[in-house]
Amino acid sequence: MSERTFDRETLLDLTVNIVPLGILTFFILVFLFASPWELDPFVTAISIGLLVVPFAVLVLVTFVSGRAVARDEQSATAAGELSASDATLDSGVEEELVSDDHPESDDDQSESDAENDESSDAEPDDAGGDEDDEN
Amino acid sequence: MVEAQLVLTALMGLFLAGVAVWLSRIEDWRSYTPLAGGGGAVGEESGYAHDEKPSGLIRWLTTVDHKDIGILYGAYSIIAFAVGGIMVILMRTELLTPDEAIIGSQFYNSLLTSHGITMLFLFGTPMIAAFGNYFIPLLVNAEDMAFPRINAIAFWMLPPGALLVWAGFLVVPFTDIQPAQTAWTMYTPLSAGVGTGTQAGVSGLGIDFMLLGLHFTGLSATMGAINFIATIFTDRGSDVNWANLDIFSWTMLTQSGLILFAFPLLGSALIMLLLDRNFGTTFFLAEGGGPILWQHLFWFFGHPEVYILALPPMGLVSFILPKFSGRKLFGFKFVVYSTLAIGVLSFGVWAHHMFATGIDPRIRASFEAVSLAIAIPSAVKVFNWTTTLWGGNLRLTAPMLFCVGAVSNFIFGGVTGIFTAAIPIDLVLHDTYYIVGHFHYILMGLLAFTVFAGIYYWFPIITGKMYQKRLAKWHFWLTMIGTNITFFAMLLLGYLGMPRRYATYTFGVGPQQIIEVLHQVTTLGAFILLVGQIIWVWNMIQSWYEAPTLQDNDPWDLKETGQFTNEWGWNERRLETAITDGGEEEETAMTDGGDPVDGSADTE
Repeated sequence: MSERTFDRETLLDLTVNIVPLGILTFFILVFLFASPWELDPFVTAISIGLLVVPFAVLVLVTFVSGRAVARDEQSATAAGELSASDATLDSGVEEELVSDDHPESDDDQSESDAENDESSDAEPDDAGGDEDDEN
Repeated sequence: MVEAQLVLTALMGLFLAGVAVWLSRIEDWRSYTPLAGGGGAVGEESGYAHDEKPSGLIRWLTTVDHKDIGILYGAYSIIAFAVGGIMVILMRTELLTPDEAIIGSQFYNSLLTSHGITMLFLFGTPMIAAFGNYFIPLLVNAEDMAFPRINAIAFWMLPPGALLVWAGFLVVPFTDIQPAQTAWTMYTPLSAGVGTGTQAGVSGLGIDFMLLGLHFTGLSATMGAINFIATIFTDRGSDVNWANLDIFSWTMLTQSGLILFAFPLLGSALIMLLLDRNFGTTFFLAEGGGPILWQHLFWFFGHPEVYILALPPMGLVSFILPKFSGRKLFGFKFVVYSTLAIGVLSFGVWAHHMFATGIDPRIRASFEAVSLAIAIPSAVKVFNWTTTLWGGNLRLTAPMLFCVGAVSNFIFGGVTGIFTAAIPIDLVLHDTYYIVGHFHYILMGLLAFTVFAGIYYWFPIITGKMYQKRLAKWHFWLTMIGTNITFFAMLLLGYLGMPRRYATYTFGVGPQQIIEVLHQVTTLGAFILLVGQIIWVWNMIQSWYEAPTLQDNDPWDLKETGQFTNEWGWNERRLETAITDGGEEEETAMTDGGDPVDGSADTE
């Protein structure tokens, strides 16, 4: 499951959170192995805990959110493929999602052109056309 | 003993985590969708509420429509912004001269306290809720907020909250009660009523009023946050999923999560402080828990509060800036994940506000590490915004100007913040004007700027009118110049060692003359800001009442770049409905006030 959900593109997106995790790891190691103070179990537990707890929670939140986004992306893409011949809303979503994939990995010029040609933002343009009116 | 306590704490944590996991497994929370159920107790009437709204004042007192509540939040926040602004103008006027010349130091202290509380709790948080209330349901294609009545209650807790926060000022002419003079951080033992000064006894009742008022605003924020979370999780339209949820909703969701964990803790700490003040407990007294306990509790709330006030503005920049760059937000998912990272890490940095309190250096070092780590996701956003602008087809409309200004100010505010994450530098700069300059670059430079950007951007949806372009440009440039004069001078004052919170600066040592000049420059900047905001209020009110009704539902030409998002789609449907319902009388009324708007007129 995780192999399919966390594909290369999703992992690339998640690298943004790996940097702060790396900084925390660095300091955990420094405080454990290069600390100028003598080891006091209580204070060490607190000071390392202050780094480990945010580390663990950040890993968890990144994992859960990355999985949720990737799954919805895949299901929307699948729905788009099914209805692509009808050029419905879902195909728009698909296009948007495909276009949203990692402009960072493309070269700047082609990315810029592609984005200007795209017909959607983070939200589908015509999304909600079939929803009930607020009024 | 200590180890046993640690083990007990760890076991309790595991137990609570187990309970959370168990609850999430036995219940499908997404099944709680009252709007989808039909005949539910809440939300159902929102679809036709518009037709049946009473007129006049009763409409505003009884409304549960998210858009009306959004406008109420906005109006309330702008009044609070004006009150807080007038307070600071009085303070800056006093600081024109080193001596106590215009207002007394006690009144200065009261203004200082209320300015901070007002701007953070009565302006910042509710103003963000105003945008959230009006636009989150539209952006996620929900019919209304998940709990419309709770939404209304959350708002109506704010006016009594504000009255209580300001109560000291209101009663001081008639009683011995003094307004609170504790600064917004309410540090103990001063705020605990220790000693015989004006903050104890009867004259200290102003603090009790303020604490109760803050409690109201905290409850309001918490109820609002629960509503946003429930709305985004359970009420979003079938076409909106986690992969295409807009960036503003992402930041509101993260912010609501922060509120959910931070504000109840503030509420508890406030109750403990009230008990210390009135019922003889010793939570924060030297013989009890100690004054540092208050600082830990306060800043465990207080630092996430910084991001509560910063994340949705970042979302607004991320949302609006691409619209006028002619291209999508660069690295959309980077911004989403970095928002979540900021949300998580914001709970791990609180004691960097306490580096100078003498806490254990090993503990300080850990907080420094997390403070350095949280800089990364913040910087990522700046690079994403810059890259979105790079090579884009920029249109320097008022909302765009405010977005670009916000990015610029955020760089100043962010970079000055990084320095203070380092303990040695913080020990030098702690409690100086440097800190004041740093956080005002964030709060005024980012928060207020994005609020203005959002108001200008969505003004056509909220009012059906367009603001006056020339006044908006004046507003921007005066605000941009005023902000940078005021707060850059504060950074310099901080480098010179000028302590914050002082009503006077007759030290007799140090570069007195330079400090005086810099204070006067700061005051000049504040007056420039005042002029800019008066222009803004005039523009908003006059344009709302007198501007011609917009004929075009796409005033920003969003369709051209494929960025015509859900809220504009909703507005388009609303206008189409209004035209079919309105008849000729509506048409006549719509042209009242001037010629139809076009690109060459004095409006955008």
